[in-house]
Amino acid sequence: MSGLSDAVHLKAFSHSERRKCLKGAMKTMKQLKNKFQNDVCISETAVTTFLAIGNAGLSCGFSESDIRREIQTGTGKLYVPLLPINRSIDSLAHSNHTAGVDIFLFADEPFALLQSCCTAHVEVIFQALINRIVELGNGQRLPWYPVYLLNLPHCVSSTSSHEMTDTKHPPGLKYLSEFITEEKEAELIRFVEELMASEETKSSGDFLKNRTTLHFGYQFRYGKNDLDLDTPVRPIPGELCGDILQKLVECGCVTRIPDQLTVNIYEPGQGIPPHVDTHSVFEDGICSLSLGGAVVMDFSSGAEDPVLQVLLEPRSLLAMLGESRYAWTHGIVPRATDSLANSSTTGQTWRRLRRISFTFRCAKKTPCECDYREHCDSQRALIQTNPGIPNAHPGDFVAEGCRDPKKPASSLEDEYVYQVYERIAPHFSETRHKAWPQIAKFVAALAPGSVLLDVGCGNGKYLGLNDSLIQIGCDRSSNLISICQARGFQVVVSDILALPFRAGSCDGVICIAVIHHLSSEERRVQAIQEIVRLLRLGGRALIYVWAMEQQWKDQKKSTYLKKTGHKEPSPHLNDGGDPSTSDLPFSAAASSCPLPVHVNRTEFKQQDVLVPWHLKNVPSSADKEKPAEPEKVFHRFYHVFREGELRQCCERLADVRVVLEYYDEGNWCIVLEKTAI
Amino acid sequence: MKLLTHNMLTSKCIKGVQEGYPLRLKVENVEVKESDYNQEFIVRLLPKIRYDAIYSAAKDAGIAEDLPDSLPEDAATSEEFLRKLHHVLLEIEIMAGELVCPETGRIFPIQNGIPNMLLTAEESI
Repeated sequence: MSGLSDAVHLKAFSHSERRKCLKGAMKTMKQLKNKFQNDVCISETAVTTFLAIGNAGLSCGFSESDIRREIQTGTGKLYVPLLPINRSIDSLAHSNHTAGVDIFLFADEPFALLQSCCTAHVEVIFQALINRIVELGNGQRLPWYPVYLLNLPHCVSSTSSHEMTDTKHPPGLKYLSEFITEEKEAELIRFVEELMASEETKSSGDFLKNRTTLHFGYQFRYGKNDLDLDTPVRPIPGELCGDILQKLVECGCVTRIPDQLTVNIYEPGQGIPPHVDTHSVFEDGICSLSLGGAVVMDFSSGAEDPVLQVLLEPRSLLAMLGESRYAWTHGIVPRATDSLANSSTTGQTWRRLRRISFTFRCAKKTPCECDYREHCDSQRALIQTNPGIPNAHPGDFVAEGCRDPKKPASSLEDEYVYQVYERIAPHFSETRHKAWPQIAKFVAALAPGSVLLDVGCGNGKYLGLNDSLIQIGCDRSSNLISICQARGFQVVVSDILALPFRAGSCDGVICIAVIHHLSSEERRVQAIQEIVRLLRLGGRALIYVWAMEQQWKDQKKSTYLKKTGHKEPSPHLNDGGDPSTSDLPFSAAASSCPLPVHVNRTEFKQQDVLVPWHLKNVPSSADKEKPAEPEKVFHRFYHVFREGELRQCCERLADVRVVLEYYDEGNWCIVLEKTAI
Repeated sequence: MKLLTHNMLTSKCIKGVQEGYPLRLKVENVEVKESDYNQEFIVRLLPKIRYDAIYSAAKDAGIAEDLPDSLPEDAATSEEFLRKLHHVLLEIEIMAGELVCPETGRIFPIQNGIPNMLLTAEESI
């Protein structure tokens, strides 16, 4: 390190300036060592083609374009990206020795890495950046500290050495880059901005929680997931899109001119949950034009297979045909930065910009007859039972994450939900006494004399909050229901899939942390259907399910993830017991089911998991004399929900509308209102 | 189980049952738990209940002597009637007994004041 102070490249600076940049350089070096350990070496005296730039990274709020801009203004020269993936044009300019520079950014890191073709260029950049004070969008000013490196860390150099563009695609997917010109892109963006600003749109634009949409040709109905074919809305603008529509046919992306257009505006951080476009509503050939910022789109064909990532560059066209349209889900994860290969260490990470998509589709007016029956709503009625599962009932599908086809859905729940709750009931009840504010608010808002049913009431935590109501609770666990009865509540032992109550008898229903215990989507939707059946017209239901995303946007980490020092476990603590006992990935108790065991107080790695419960023996007066039993661990099945998934389940029902959708302490929450009987 | 709760219960969840309402009641053990009469509360619950089922359940439980067999027209204002209703709906706890499906005869036990309405796999739709 001492060599730095004598470095030739710092000779031009005054003593105090050199001290400042040394300090900055030391800090940057520490950060590099922290992330890359011995994989990166500082160059103490020599000028190389590699730089690290302290304070220029993503966690400081900078993006690649900021760095390029500073380099340009500081050196007076424009350096183009070297790697194909970073360019909007496929041709390599380096053969002409156009000065080139690649920037590498890392999620949550304060530094950036840079490589260039020649040391001469890097030297100029170094001199321009050293001690340079750069201003952020919010007015904050940070000094940048460039440091020469002898090499780039392995994870960056290995990916930069081969073509990044030949990632695997789902079958039938077509990706055409530079489908439109930059002028056309600007024209389309201007059109959308003007439309959004106009009065007409303010009332008719669909402001979904996680993005803004506009429809042309036919209106898409998010409640029914279909098109309103009887009432055409404003047509696809001919002058603006005519060429594009023509080109879509010419390129073989569609067989006829599309008659429906959906424009989606994604601010940085917004996304769309994974979904398959309903078969019966749109023909084959769904074409999405991307404008503005690049994003990564995830394609999935099922829980077992790895997700395929497709980079959508601005001005590119993505056409989903065949299998990619009918049998793969596509979605965009809501986050502020993107990287390829799903890893923040590859260096190919960038901060998202606003992206606008123009999705052109052909409205379908006949039932779908595709080959992908399991995903097909037109043909779903034809699927009776899965012949591979003995004694299976219609709709009795195996938990998507569970790889054992011999276990029908309800027996999985029996072993990993119902029996467990019966065993842990007293201890479980002890950990459940604080009513959550949002839920209490819902209950308090019901008119006096309302009938409120708590489905899956557990120990009755939410019964008795509002004495002006007629309150009834039901749960599958007799032991938990007994606890409710002892508290003086009116309760019934019943199953959520067969609720023994009159249709239309309830003004309000709450269902807190229940549906995530059901092991197939069919059963989860059926549960919601049952709840809705019980509502009177205009009645409302509140549903809470555990979220896969335990840390949501800017909200503080859900209580589940935080370590609590309190004696009373946080309301959402589903492990109940002492978390110091570490969990083996596959404990003996769970070896009969190949689902993974979740490690408490960490992020969920997949949706279908077993969550441990460490049972503390609650001594009752009866067994004070018994010797203490060793602490036992139980496993409960959970299907944790992704953003938007609960809403999607609800939207499969016809007689209900979504009133409110929100995230509360690690849960996805929804309020439904019954709109038809 | 109070008769107010009984009023909401059906056996329609059983495969093949058309209505499943009202459930017949067999009483083995009854407790009377007095509670404060709140006229407003009783008036408010009038539109939520099905009176015919209250009457038949009260009859099954042997406590229907004072009750009219159909909802009187002045129900909302007759304190005499409302007090009777209060007693029948809220002060009677069926601690042990049976609920019986009127169409299939299927018995659902009531134990410790709790009806168990769980179905077998064959009965589920």
